[in-house]
Amino acid sequence: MRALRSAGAVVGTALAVVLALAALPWLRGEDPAVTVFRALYAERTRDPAVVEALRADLDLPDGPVSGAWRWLSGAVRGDLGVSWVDRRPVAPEVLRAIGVSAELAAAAVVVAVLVAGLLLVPATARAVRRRRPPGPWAGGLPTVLAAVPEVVLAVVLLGVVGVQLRWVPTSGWGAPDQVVLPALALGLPAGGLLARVLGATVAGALAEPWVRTARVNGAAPAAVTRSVLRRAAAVAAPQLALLAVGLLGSSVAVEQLFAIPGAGRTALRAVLALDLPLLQGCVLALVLAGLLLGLLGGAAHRLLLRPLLGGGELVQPVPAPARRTAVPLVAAGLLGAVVLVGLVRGGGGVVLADRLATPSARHPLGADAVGRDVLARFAEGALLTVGTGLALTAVAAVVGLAVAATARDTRPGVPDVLNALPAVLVGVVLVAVTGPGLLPAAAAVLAVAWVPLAVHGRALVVQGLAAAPVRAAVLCGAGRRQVLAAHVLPAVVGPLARHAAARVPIVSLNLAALSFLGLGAATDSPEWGAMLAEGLPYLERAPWGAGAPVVGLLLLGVVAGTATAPRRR
Amino acid sequence: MIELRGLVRGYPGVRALDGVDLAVPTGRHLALVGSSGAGKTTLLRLLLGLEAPDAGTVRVLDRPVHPGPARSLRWLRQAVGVVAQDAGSSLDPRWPVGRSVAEPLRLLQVTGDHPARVREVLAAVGVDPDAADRRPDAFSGGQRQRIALARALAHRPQLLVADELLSGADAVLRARLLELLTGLGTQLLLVTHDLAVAAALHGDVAVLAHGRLVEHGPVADVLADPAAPATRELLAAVLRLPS
Repeated sequence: MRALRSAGAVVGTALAVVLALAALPWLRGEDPAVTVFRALYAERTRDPAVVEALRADLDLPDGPVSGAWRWLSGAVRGDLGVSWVDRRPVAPEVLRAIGVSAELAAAAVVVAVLVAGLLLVPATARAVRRRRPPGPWAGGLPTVLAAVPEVVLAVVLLGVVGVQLRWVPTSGWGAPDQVVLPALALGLPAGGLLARVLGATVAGALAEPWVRTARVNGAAPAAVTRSVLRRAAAVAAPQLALLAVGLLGSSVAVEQLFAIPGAGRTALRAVLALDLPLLQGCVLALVLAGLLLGLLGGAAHRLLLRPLLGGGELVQPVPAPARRTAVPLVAAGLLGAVVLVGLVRGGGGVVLADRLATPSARHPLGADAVGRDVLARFAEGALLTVGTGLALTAVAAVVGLAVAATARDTRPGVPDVLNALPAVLVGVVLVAVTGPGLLPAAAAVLAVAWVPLAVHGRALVVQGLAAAPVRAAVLCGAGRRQVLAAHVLPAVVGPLARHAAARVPIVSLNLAALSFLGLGAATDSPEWGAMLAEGLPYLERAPWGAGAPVVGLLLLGVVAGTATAPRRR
Repeated sequence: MIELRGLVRGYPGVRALDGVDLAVPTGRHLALVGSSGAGKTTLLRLLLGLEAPDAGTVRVLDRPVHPGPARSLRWLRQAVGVVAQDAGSSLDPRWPVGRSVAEPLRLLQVTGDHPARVREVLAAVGVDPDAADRRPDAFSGGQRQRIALARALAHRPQLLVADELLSGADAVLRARLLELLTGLGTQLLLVTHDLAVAAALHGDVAVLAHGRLVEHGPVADVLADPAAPATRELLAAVLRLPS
């Protein structure tokens, strides 16, 4: 019965997502024909005759119900309608775009596997030879690598390898050398994450009795290393599918930066041009691809691990526990110091004479394209980026707590479906409804940010409900609500608040990513994502403009990655 | 006081209760005895309305007991005080123990001076009333048990149910607790696997074995002439000093 209800919640949420997608053109609250008119003739005053002509020409349905129904029945037959902008059928273009995205994701997975292998194999061999539990890979390089935001890595690669060294082309798709930079940008952080996940498995395998038996019996270290890695690989194989899902979702910014005609960039272009059928197609393709990979990952997991685990649910990639380090504190401290200096110095006004000025005593971090002091803007942007992140996380924590309070068991429900949606994708869809802005971007980030907190809170609530004081309270006449208020929630608030605090940088990064794509803060805002986008065109002449937000986001990523890594007790 | 008719309750793979009839008259102590897995805890859960029987009826004070929202069972909570099996850990670690003891007074909306009642009932179980503002970790395991007992008694229930309250205590502590319990003047229903505890109650004893009631009667009669093999086994297991 409970299993049925849980499955119902999962299917229901998935259906709701698809229905919302189908009804997207009507969610804006205006006649789609008017939307098309504005998409085609942005600034012209509305001419009813032209609007009606457009409606007839594009054969637009009359209402949301018939429209959603027609889109859904068409989608099932592989017909996704025609573009509102160039009137070409959407389906072939979406298919082409998702193919490009899949190629990119595959290349990134190859990079990730290579990186994880390079990090893990020597470390495992060393641990086997020294007969000691594995050392630094659980907390060191992989954690930092996994913490680098893809956008930031992409900008750095673009600036250093592409623009300064000119080794490989920086845009386009098709030639083998065009794959290198985007695959590295997506694959390096993914490889760090994979190494972190696998590090835990390797550490566990090394502690198993058979390793000691093999050593005592004089097995060659190389043979033991091979066996340990084979065990870890059985866990890794299914994780690759989940990794690819993440890559598909997070590749929008990388595709945009390297001008790769993938599904993410196409969706972004469609949003900014109000070409809603194209957007619907791209998002549908991305969601379906994610679902398919998730199912594949689940099947592979059961196939490979059932003999070991005796069934069970798909294991989410849980990073290896990290040692308590000063890294997040140092990174946060450094960031805070720079921001403080910037705020105290002040002076971010436009001085055209100082256009793209090199760093000097007058402008310690240089000046941007209109002569504004980069340090001052950087500090201002820090308040905006992290401050908004802080506020959003607080709201997310409250929502997560409220959702968790309704939990009866830890079976998958609504949050688990939403967990699979990347913030950037949600942002793209939301902006299609509301138009770009800091508020819709914040809403999109919030729509995703409460989910991990709710999942964590749910586990804590279920655990708390089973505790002895609660059972005693029930026998004193307490109902569920009284038990929650008196005994359970007070015990949940603390751990959840700590978890939320560790997620502030992640939320800020998501917000910056949306601003970078032009979906969030206005382009002249000092918000770090917007600042990064603004500095990009001058990457060659004045790298400090983009460099400041890059370093800021990088430090934020390190804080996020190292602060959220579970601690080894 | 209690009337159980034809109680059947099964879990996947087990028949925890297999047709139990039991009537407990008002004012007479009862020891519910049986070895592990005999169905004692299941019987308690049905009696307290925590789960429903597969078949049969539970009546307390001539009212039927059905699991349901807290409001619908308030009369039962008022009538019956419970000390859980894990009495020591059933106090919320964040609360001063006085707050825990006052919890039933608050939840059952008992009228009167709650702090005074808390002091009174703490003193009755032999805990210093001035320590009511301390948290559970300031007390020993035995003291925590007594505090849990104080909570169960705070709202003056007609019946006190205790599940294996004495099994964790050492011999001296057990004797003192038994003395305390029998001196309370409240009707007792003690669940135990120790016939010696049953003997000390001077009431009735009911023996459960494999989900069935195999023996029920005044404790003196049962101990003098045990009819069921399960009772004889339990009797043989009671430790005695060599005479």
